[in-house]
Amino acid sequence: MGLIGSNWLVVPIVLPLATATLAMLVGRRSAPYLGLLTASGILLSVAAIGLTVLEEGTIRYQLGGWEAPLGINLYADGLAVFMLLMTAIVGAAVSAYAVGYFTSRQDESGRVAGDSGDRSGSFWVLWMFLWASLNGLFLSADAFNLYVTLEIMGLSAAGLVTLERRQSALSSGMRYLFVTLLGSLAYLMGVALLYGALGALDLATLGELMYPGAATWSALALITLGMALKTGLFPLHFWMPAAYSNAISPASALLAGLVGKASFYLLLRLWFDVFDGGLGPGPGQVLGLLGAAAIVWGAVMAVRQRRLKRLLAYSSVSQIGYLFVLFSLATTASWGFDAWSGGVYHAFSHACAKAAMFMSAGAIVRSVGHDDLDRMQGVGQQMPLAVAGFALGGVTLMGLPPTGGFTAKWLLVSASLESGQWWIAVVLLAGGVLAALYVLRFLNPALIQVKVGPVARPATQNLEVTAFVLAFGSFFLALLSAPLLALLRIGTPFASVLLVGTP
Amino acid sequence: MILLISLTIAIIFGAGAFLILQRNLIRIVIGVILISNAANLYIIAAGLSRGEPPIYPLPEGAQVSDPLVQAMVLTAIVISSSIAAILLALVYRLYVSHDTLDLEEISRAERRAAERLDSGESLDDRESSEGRPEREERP
Repeated sequence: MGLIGSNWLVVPIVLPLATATLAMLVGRRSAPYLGLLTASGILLSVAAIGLTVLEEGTIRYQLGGWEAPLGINLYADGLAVFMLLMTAIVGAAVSAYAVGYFTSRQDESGRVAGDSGDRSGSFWVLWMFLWASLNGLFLSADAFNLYVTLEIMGLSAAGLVTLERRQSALSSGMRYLFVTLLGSLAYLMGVALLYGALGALDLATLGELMYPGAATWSALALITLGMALKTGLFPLHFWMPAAYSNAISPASALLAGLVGKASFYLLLRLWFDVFDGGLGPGPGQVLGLLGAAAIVWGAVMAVRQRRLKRLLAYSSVSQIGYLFVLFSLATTASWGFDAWSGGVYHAFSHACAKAAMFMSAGAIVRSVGHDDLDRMQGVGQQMPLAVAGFALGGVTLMGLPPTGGFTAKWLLVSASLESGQWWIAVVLLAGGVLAALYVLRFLNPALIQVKVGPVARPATQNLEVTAFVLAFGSFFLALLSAPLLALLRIGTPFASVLLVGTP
Repeated sequence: MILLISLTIAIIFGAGAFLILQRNLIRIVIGVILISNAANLYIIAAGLSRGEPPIYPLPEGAQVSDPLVQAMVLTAIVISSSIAAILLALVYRLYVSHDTLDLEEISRAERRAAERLDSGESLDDRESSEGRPEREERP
């Protein structure tokens, strides 16, 4: 091996797991420093893994030295590294944000201090477990191991939702936990069916043995249903608005940015690596239709919201639709890579943009004390950096040129035109217009010039700056399209097509 | 044997699905636990059709039943028991703050709270007026 050995693949999983355990022991004072240290460690190790994959192709690591049919493998190809990178960037930004978020709480009256510090400690523990499960999910090449990471992810994410002290957060956290449990149980039953039919758990082996039959079809249906429930695909998005808008803002950013993407990634991985394009074009069309419905429905609901965080939550419903559109486009091989990479690219840009928007919304809610859209006049003068971050993220959601959303939409729209499904292109573009509408629902009052005093409780600079930096990154993501798409080509299920010579 | 176990799974799953649709939170939790047990049985069933049970005196060279499913089920059982613990803890917190286990009543209380927010109360980090009582870790 050149830069690093294959055993480095365990670092992004073990590091946050160790930190989570340590953070429980060291208590709330040192936990933030430990978290930041871990975040930078993960960034470095993911960068090293990414460079190695770029240079030498995919990496496979056998845990404990046991070979594939029996042992559990970790596997890094372009897609896995892409998702790892997304998680590392958003995760590092949210970690930096959380440091400010919890310390500025402690600066308030003594009454709140003790409890908020307590929650800061739990935040770091839960967030590190969540990060470990995300990295584990992206790297696992074993169907049952994926189930374990799914459960860790669901439990820690539900814990993050219930950290908010308001009552509504408790019950939305519990609803979220019910939903995510049912989703992963459906996945587990699908895995059991696959194992019963094919006698393997390793994803590559499963892909080789796959045949269309009653058991594999039911497994596909169960797994797809479970993951659609966890991702919040229309009409299974019912839990999303409450969970996203009631959680504390760093948790909303993590949930909307990363957790939803993880279950989507799993679906992507299984559909194209194991089920071979969904065993024909039919099922993909169903998911694509639901995705298109989600784009319109989520955006319309977002325009109608009166509260900033609910608006963002419905906007997530809409943006998740874009991810699922790729299933109806990528089933045909010749433009498959365009659609597939467009969807994955959209996951990246949406993760950065939506996390940044939730972070700036959190800073605004913190400072002005409410998230009522009708009373946002003049926020732009009070908190220019947070509003600018929100605007940059909003432009990414619309999909205008220099942003990552543009590359994603370009790939998706060109794939839908090439495949003759022009109605999908219409929906994709209409979604962009509707996104502009709901982003302006906030920006319009916020940028009005009115006489305003300073805010009641000025947020620490940290909150606004981290939100802005992440939004800035998502804004210029299209400039990195070439290296990122080159990364995605490594180990893609459409590799055979690429040799024929699509541009 | 396969028919028997699939019937068992169907009944347990059906009972769980029925309980999930109820209004009482405890029933919903029991429903989730039943469904996760149905899933565990499902995994066991996936390995049933191959080989012989190892506890039975085997003829020479016979294939033993698949041990991997049993290892998987052990993991799944541990996960589902911890899930049950977390769910019950959450239900307890909800009961303490709302004095009810009825899902409808809890959503009604939340709608009232949301309306209060809409009518101009600040969405603050401070306790809401009917707030959750002080932490009581040691009952």
